[in-house]
Amino acid sequence: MAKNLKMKAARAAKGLTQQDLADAVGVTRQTVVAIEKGDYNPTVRLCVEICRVLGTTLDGLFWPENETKG
Amino acid sequence: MKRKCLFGEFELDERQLLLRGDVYKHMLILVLALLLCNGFLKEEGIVWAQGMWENILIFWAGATLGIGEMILRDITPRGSRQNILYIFFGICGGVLLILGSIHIFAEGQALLENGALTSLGAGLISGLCMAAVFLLFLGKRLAARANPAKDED
Repeated sequence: MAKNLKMKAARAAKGLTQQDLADAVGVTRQTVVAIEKGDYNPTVRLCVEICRVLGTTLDGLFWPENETKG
Repeated sequence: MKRKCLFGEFELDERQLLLRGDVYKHMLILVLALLLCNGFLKEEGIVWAQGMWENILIFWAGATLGIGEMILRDITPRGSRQNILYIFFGICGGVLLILGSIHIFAEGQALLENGALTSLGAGLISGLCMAAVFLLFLGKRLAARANPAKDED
């Protein structure tokens, strides 16, 4: 799975560390690391929570860049 | 997922729950394989530990693998007091190892008798399993302290 650079950029733009984001969404830091590395596919519930904290949308964070929505 | 347990609030995130499933699978496979081997050995009339110790040691093998893997893969509930469990393991393991050593060196008791582990030998292995869990926990803790959590690429 490809790295989630969009999530990393959105987090950095908000000035949050991985630990800050993990605490805000109620997971461990290792889980945030795994999502950003592309090693773990989060559930929709967690994706929504991350989007809410980072102030962005599901499309903005999790939709692949080279694909268009049908 | 939050629920109460003996060691405080028990909370694993969704990734940890998936990993825990893997750990349980590994434990199950190991215990089943060991029980199968034990069954074959019994069929051949081979006794490798006295009395109930065969089954207890098989249990300890599975438990040590499972708990050790959980420690190594960070499947520890956030903000819980599970550390108490690992420290308890360390104390029990240490006591078993010390008492076992006293029996061996001061009283000259044997670890093996007729090719089978005695209660003393099996107790020492149980102690080693418990101590191994504690040492893993301690090692992980010291490593985390030496390399404080910071953003990873």
